[in-house]
Amino acid sequence: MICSVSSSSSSSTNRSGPSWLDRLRHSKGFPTDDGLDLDVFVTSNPNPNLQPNPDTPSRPSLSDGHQRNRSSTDLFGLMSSVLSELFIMGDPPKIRPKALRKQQNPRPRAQPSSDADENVPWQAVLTTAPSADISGTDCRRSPEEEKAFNKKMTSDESDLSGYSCTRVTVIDTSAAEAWKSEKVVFRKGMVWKFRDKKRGGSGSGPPLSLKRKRKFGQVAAVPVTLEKRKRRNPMRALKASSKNGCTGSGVVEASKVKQIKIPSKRICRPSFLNLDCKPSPEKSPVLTLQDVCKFKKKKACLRSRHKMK
Amino acid sequence: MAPPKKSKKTKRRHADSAKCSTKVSTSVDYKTVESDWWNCFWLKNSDSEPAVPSNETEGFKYFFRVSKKTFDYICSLVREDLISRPPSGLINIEGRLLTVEKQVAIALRRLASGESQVSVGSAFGVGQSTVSQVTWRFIESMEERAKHHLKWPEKSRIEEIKSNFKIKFGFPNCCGAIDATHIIMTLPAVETSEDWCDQASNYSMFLQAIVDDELRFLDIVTGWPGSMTVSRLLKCSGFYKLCEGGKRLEGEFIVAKAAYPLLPWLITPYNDDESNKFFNTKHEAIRVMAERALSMLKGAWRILHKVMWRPDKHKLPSVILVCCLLHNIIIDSGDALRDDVPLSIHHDLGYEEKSCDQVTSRGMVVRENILRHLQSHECHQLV
Repeated sequence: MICSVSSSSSSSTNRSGPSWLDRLRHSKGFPTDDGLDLDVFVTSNPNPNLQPNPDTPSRPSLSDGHQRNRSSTDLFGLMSSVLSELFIMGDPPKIRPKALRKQQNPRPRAQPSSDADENVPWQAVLTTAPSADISGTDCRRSPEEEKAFNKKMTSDESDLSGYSCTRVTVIDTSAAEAWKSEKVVFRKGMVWKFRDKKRGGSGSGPPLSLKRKRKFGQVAAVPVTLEKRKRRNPMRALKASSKNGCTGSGVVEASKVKQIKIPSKRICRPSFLNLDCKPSPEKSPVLTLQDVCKFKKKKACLRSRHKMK
Repeated sequence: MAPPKKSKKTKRRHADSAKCSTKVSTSVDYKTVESDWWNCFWLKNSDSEPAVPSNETEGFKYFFRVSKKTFDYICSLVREDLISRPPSGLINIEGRLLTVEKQVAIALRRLASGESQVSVGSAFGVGQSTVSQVTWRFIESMEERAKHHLKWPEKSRIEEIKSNFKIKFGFPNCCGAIDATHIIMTLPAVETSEDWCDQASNYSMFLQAIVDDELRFLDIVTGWPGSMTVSRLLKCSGFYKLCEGGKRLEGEFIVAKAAYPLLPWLITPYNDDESNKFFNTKHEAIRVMAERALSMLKGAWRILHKVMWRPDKHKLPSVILVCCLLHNIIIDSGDALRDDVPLSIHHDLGYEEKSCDQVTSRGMVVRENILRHLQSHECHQLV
């Protein structure tokens, strides 16, 4: 609400002139006496001749009606008319639900297509092609999948907005490479476009027919290398490498083990394996795993001898 | 003194011998069960339907569409795949492992009848999940192992096909007929898309097939949405690209219905039926071979005929391919479908045929040449 009498109100602070209340009373034809009994005034003046100030903006819907039909008990109406003349009240407040900031059914904005074969104006696409499923309901994927898919498509999909898209698996016995291939079908009304579905990375993966699912009771044919293990789980890789060290050459290849990034110092607990990245030179000389194994063997030998005795 | 430790090697030996013994026992089980599965199935299902023939051999064909000999051949194709993966979870009610034969029988019955996995499972005494897994495993194996039953023929075979068409219908240089059919399915609400909704308001997947004079499939394309037109489907196929690139059908052609474009290697009928009735009648005689082949396919392998309940759209092409492979295997092995196999009048009932306006000048020239050849041949015969 904007106050229209801000200047007058500010001037009301001037004590030399009449106060804003006096002026208000005066403008409405009320007596300005301080000792006025309002109750008496209201009852004795059921229809006061109120002359609104022509300069002040009047709201006929409020002031006129209220002034004409005012009863003795309609004090509230009187006051509201007075206030409305003093202030720009605006429209009576209507109770409306707060508008949602987001669209309830968001749809991608159709962009003008640059295709040569598409002469339909882009605005008309939405209205004239009801079959064009712009939302692309068939493309509902998990968020991760969606991200990956979008990333793949951004490079060449700039001209395909407004098209519905469907991923299909096609078997073609005359296909140049493998019989089975995955395609992406873009459709807008009668306009169809087809793309080969890109494979992740280089796109030179094995043909789909060769890429078979793991069967029951079948362990993955490709052995998990130490490098892969390292990437997946450094702790497990560490254990595996130490195991190999014991059973194999007997010496843990420190250089290899050092490559593993160990986030926590606690992982470096077996300090005798020299896995700590900061070996202290003052401490006891570094033992290799071979030494440990030898030591254990010796100990076992001694024990057995002791028992024999 | 501590007891001498047993070396690891001896332990391993024991373990190996134990494994061997289980292998032996398994193989023994296989042998005993091998002959059992059919007897059990026959006893259980011979009276299940009134149409089941009383003859056991015919009964076998009734249930599995193939003779026992062909069945054995199919088993030999997939044996390696099905036996090399011991079906740890796939056991029948008696708690024994499923044999390759029983797995093949389950899969064939599922494809042939199109019945639900539950009812197929109950016929064999296995669960729904087993039917699902066995069928998919069979399909995967057949896709790889039976490829040689569906390929574009060699030059010598092409010559044979051409001469057969010429003898039967008088068309020179004809290598086959092309047609397409819709495999109808229902889609889950989340996957429902206009792209799969065809002209008959069904959700469907296309199968395009080229057949020879024996109704064998020479080439198929499947997996594309049924909402396309057949001419667009053709253009999406590798066959079209090969033909347009001059790598296939050089100086030869195949026949197609009016919904296809007229191309030098793809001959459609004349639109004006009256003036070229002679040509169109002969053309029609070859073209219906493709229709018959597709009707047979859908009749024999009824999983394709029924409305599929929410299939995996990425797996359905494999199912269609394997049915086509089985169709060819039946022809290659000299089996014939039983007369009581229900064949519909048309493979694609309820679909209106729309003619394609695309006509190439070279296609018109070829068609005119064929017409002239047919007319001269007819005159020669009359004389």
